[in-house]
Amino acid sequence: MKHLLNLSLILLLALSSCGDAPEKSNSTESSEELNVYTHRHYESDKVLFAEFEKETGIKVNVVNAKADELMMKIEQEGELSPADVLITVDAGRLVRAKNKGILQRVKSKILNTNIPAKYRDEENNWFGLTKRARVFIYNPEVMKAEDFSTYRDLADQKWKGTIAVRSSENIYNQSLMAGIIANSHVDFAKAWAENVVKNMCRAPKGNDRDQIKAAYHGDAKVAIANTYYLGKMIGSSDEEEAKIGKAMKIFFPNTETTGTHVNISGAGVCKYAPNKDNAVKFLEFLSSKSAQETFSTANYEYPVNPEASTSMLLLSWGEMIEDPLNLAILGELNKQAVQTFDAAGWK
Amino acid sequence: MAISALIAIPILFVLAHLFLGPGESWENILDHLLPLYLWNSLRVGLASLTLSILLGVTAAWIVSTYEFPLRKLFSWLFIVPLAIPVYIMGYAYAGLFDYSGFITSLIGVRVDVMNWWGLSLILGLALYPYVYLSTRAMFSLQNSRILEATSLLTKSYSKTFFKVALPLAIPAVAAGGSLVLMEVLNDYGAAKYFNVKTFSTGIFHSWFSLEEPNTAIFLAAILSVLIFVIIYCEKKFRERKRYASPMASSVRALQRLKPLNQVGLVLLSLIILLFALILPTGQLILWAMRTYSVVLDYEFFSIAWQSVSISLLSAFLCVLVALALISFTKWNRSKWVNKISKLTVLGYAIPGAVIAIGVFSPSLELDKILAKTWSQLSGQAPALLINGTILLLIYGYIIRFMAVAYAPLESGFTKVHKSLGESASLLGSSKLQTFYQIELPIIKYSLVGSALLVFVDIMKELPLTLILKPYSVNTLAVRAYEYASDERIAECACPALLIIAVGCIPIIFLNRIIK
Repeated sequence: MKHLLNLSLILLLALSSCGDAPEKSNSTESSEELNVYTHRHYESDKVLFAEFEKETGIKVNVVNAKADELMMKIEQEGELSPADVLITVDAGRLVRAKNKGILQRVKSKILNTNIPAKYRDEENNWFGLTKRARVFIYNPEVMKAEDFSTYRDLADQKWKGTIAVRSSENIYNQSLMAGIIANSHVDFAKAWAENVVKNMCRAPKGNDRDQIKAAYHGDAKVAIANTYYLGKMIGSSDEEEAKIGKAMKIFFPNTETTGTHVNISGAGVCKYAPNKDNAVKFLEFLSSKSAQETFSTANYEYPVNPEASTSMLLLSWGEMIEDPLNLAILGELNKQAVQTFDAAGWK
Repeated sequence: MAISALIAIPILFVLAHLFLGPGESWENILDHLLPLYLWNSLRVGLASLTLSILLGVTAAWIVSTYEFPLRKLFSWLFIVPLAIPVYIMGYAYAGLFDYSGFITSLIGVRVDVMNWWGLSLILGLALYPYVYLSTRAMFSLQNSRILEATSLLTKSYSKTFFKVALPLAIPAVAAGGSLVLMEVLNDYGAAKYFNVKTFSTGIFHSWFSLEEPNTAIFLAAILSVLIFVIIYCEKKFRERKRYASPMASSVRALQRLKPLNQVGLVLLSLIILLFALILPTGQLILWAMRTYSVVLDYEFFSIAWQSVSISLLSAFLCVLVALALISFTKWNRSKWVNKISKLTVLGYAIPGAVIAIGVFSPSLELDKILAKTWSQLSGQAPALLINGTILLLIYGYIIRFMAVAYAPLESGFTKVHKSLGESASLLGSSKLQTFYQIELPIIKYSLVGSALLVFVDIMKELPLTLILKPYSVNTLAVRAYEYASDERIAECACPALLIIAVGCIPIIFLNRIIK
């Protein structure tokens, strides 16, 4: 028994060396640190974080979890929160974070020049870093671009049993729904969702890639998915997935009406950030031309910085005409979108 | 007392929400979702329970009754699926049945498994070892003379099984089955990927999609009450059915069969293992071969080491606390102490993420007070002392897995005859002395066994770890999750296989001990 106690003490000591929390203090040392709470876990981000560390000598500590959990954590930690930067994968959560009062206003000329006003909060509480569009993906051997037109069109009876789309639990679907509510009316949106449910080829399940596969194999005629997933399939180490990715085509819906639904992944500086200056530097770095191009080539996202060039692959998908809707609205209508999905029986 | 209070606080925090009530979306949920949650949880629960009992009891019976080639190997391989996290099993099966998946190409048709029965299937396959373990222990303890007498009388082992062995083993089946049921109700990852709306997915829906933590915790509290009822029934049931004499045990002789029947048993074992182990790990190995070059780096191994050491330490502490709890309730006659210590077992039934809030919120308040006091005393800027350290994570694990340590230990203690303790104290030995010299040697196997079970469980744990882990700490399960949420399912394979491999080591020990 005594041996066991000793063992546990040794283990505890060993662990305490690797488990120290980043301390919040005003000493000069802490200027070399930055605590990032992020929902993104892409390889491109790891590369960029390492680059930032190298360039500035500021150590980046990362907490990886879902945006909601991170927000809850920051909220409860309150004034003592060690979080400097919060990164999410959609605009809705950024708006939610702002409304919870966990972000702060940032004044930075660099950010204001790098990021067009449309992609940042009007009070500069959050900044979009990359864009992703929710589009139709189809197999050109089965369908033609002319067969498609708008999101609204998917509610038409002619699509019965042909649509593959994931769960309404998914934030990208929720933002799409919020966009539809904003561009029309909640009653219309509910009727739309009910009809799309009737037109689904199966109960919603799996992730975006699963929807694309279903469309490739003919179980569906159209998959609703985010653009970068197709890019990731094309770049996949799985030959089968790469083959499917290369075979499929993208259709940008609503080009002739309200524009294609676009969402952003973005970041904000936390209200009680202990390393605020570093946090701003970090955001400026991520919005720079070269970082933006890394997002585009390595993670297949569209850059928000107009100076940065979009990767060749993304350009090859065709021109994207965006819905001019203010992205903050997606956040404000999020809850309504969820309730509309629930009422329409979109699982 | 202090320990039970410490363990009970987060759980009471959750239960208190039963009285605080749900958030404003409750009606919306009541109308559109609650019937669905109940229906899905019910049918998935029953189906996976049935499957796990079927597999677990069959496997336990054949390895403890018949002699056939590779019996020893099979008897521990049957436990190995326990090391596979349920969500990984889900990904693997979705992969096997995918368009270009192995099974699809084998049978030529694509069968869609991503629905409620598919979910029940993988839950049953991943969780049957709980039933297997408890039942096997019971079968091998059963009074050999009773069984031998019966088989002599009836000349049939199947009659012995249905008329005598199985009824005698029902308490064990119930114990294993209740663990299965709790795991099923708790599963989030697989249900989410398959998009089967269960109670557990509902908790996350109201918490995050509807942004109503109160509604979420309210749902979790209802779920806890349901589980409490299950635990209670199982316990009452076990008490009523206890008729195996504790002291009985000469080793049971294994029955030798004709060669043809032996082949049949080998085949049967292989079929069970094919679905529960060979196919899913085969899929993972295929994926790992494709992705190892990207995934395996120095960081990966450091994460693996952290995973193992944290799990070991937490498992050890968890068992220590369980031991303390059981001893104190034995020494203390107060009903209240007993009630509270029962409550601590509930953690197993509450989704990890909700436990995390239960741990996080109260400890943060304490931490804030500590931080202020400390800064006043020392004149330094206030900083959180407990929060964001490994302590909180371990605390969370202990609460979450108390039941896993508690149940085997408690049943281990039932082997300690009351008269032993009484005679010891009559002879003037103190409680602690009695414990060290009499009880500890008797329960030491249960002690190690329960620590190992907890260890395997912590290695697999995900949602609680995500919320409570410090920056610098990472676990294999978290690593796998990061890949999965990036829709890089194949990249999960390396961390997943390592979780399984590490889990196998305690399972080998476990196999020895429970024999």
